[in-house]
Amino acid sequence: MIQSPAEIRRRQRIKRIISLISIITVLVIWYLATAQFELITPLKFPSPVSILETLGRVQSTIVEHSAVTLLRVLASFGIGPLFGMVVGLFMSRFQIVFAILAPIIEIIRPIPPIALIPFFILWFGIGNFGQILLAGLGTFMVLVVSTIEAVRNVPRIYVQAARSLGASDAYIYRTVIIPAIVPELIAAWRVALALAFALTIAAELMGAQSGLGFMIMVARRSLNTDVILLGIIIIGVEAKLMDTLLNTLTRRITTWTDRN
Amino acid sequence: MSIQSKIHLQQVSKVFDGHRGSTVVALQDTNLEIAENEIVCIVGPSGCGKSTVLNLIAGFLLPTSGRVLVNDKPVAGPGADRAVVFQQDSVFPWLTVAQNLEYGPRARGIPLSERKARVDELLDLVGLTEYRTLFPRQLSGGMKKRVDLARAYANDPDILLMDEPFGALDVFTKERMQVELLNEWQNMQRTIVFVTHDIEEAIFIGDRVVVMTPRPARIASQIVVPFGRAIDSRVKTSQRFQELRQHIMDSLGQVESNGDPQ
Repeated sequence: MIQSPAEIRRRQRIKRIISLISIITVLVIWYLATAQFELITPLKFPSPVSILETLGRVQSTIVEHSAVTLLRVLASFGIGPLFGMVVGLFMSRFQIVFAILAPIIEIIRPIPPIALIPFFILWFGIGNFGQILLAGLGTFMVLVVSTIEAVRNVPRIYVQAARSLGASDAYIYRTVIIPAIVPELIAAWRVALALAFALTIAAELMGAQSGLGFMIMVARRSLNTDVILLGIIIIGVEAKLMDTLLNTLTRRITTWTDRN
Repeated sequence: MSIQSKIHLQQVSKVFDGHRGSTVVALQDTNLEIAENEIVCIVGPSGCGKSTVLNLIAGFLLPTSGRVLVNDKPVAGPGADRAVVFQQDSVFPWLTVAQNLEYGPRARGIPLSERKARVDELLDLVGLTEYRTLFPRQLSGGMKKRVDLARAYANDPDILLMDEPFGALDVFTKERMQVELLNEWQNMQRTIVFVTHDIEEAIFIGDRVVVMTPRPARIASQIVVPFGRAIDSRVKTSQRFQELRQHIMDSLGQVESNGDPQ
């Protein structure tokens, strides 16, 4: 059915209003169940009011911990995926590189990086380096595998067309393979971003002196559920903001796909 | 009998490895000569090896035995002298219309000014000048096929190899593209090998129709189209056209009902 632009806009507005009502309902139920009727004890799940109070009370420490976590995520996310993508591209392009690296990567890849945390603490202590390296390693693996897979998925017909138009192998790699895998790579980058958050928080929970994970861990010891929940909410907000930012930045380089 | 043929298949066979050591004969002891500027259409049911013939000339495949000669030289791989147009959409979706047309000349290192002039000329030829900055996803199927054809022309190839190029288009677009192709041929004069399963299309476009059959995959008969190259799709309804169509249908049916001769 063909809809006029005005009709489409109207429908989008209605959808947005429904979504807004949905989220407000959840907040209201939360408020009623905790602060109003006290169906849940505050110790197990604090009310939204006390969360806001806590935020006001510990503002400066929270900002600090949030910043530390975000910086760690950014550092690992800046190194791991980029490095993984380059390695993946070299492995796809040169069979010798593939033969050398594939077995090593296949051994490391199935191990959940979280299992390495005790070793990392032993080797690198509880400073930034170990935490960044952990998330960097995890995101590196995501991109290596996704890049190789994406290159394999490039339709053969594009390569054949390029070859019969007189393009050399190196030229085809640069002008066909790499642009063709961009959409898949962007998806992999987004997965890597979520993983970078997960691994950074995990590392902070298990051994750190700062960061949201550390803050949650300390609060747990003193049964300070307000701070725990607040920490969780901030992690969610940070992850969502980063994902939105990544999505906005990458949208420009894929104007050619149907995604937009 | 040869008077310097453009393309020459000599006793060509192509065998593919199947599952568990079995083999599939995709083409058997095939001989075919195609003259310069001739339009040869290859028809036949699926599995008759018509695409294999095209892929061998394109250099995507190498023969198991026999020789494939282009300009008296054996084909060693794909090259810019033999442009290929596929049935599937092979226009690069990440390039604009103009960038797609520019791809071949650019890959071969043609200078910018020359490239630009060539692209303008091609856009004009296929009537896409006003769409030059659009991406393929914004085009209709017929327009994409025009981009595909124009991109193939861009390198000024000696030979155009077309593998059911209009197979995925609707009937109206298909007919228009057939007429356009012949019009463009008038200006360029190239050797064209055109694979199709549409007998009417083969008679309309070809100077000669090569009929292939499966099991064994080889050429069953060759028919010279007697009424020249009429660039008017009304010829399709003429009696002679339909008689020829019936003749080819019969020759296909005959070989099929004969079954395996071995």
